[in-house]
Amino acid sequence: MANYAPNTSVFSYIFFVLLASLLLYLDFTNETFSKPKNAYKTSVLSINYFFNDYVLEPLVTFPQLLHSKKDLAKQNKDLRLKVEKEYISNFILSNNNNFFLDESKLNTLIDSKNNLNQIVISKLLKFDTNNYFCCGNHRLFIKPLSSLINDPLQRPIINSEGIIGQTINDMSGIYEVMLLSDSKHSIPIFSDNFYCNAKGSGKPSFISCTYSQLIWEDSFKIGQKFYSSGLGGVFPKGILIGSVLDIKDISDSEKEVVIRLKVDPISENIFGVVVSI
Amino acid sequence: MLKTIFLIVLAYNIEIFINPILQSINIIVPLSFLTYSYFAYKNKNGFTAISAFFIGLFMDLISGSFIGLNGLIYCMSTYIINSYKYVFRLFSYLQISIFFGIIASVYVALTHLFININNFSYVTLFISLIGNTVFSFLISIARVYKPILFKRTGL
Repeated sequence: MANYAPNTSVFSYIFFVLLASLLLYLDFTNETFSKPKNAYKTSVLSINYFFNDYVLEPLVTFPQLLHSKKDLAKQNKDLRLKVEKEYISNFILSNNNNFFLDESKLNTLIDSKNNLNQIVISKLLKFDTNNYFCCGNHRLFIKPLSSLINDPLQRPIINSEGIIGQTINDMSGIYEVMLLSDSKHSIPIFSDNFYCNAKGSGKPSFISCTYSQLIWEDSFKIGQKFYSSGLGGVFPKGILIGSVLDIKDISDSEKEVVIRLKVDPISENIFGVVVSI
Repeated sequence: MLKTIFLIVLAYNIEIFINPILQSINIIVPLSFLTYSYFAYKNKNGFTAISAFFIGLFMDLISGSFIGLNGLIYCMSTYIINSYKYVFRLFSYLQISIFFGIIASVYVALTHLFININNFSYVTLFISLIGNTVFSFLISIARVYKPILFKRTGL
């Protein structure tokens, strides 16, 4: 007697394949399940953060702490000195400008204290390098080291080299950052008189601009630099974004300028959220 | 079943570390999917459609891909594996490895259609097919030459 293969009832498989297809369609077209996915990400990141900061790190640093009393005492002295310096400068600021014979010196000090470009320093929580290298989904998650940001969405994110992306999601104090190279991202850039919206290529460190030769007749040079144009109101103007790596023909009239980004987002773990421009 | 899910999640975490390295030579090894396929193949009665669907959904959640993508692929692959359950007995290790290499490449192709359509590459698929086949063959060889390891871990 012939053996039938187990669990091969076609109807159950058809039902679940159709159900999965429906879920996939809803998520792909409308992002219907973004809330449960974000809730899951938030919980995982929070648990990781709690475990690293309150369990793992104290355990790792405990032996060092026992041997570093002298260092701590020295650090304490240095910090006191710095705090006192800060107190003095605050005192100078709050008690009119008679301290300075030259008024411009005071103004310089005031400008540096009340700079409009406020940066909130944040640290990296998670970066899915697998997705970054394989697929078009280039995201990372950061958490501010100090206070939370009032209106955190669509803020430029920088590291010490330049702009890396913008915040797209606030998950209870953990911010999801879409990198410039993400396939869904676009940034307004310019070079000389040429302006365009550069789309993320989905490949690490590359963005691209398409243009019609019927409209723009000038040619680009390899290595030509592109800067942020500030249009759109998210990114500041005049920041170096990258340089031309290649120019491809899409059709007879259309061309694509491939731009290699200046900044490598995986080189650093500390980022700055630009709060006001 | 919990042990299976735990091992699939473990495989997914290993996959996250190895794939960025293998990416430089255009190979993508979907280790979590291969682990699932292996358990579906080894299970006496085969996995049911409902378990394949829910394991797939769980993988969608932890991998951050579109909900339903893994559920769909896991369901289809489970049906194929269950259908050929007795036919596999006639196959050699190499033939079974080629089969797993092919379904792993189909998995890579389908996932890339949804999450990496801008950079869809047939070269990557072809090299991944060879890479996954070789990987599956090495695992099957390891089962023959190091059976103690697999017996001890219950695999």
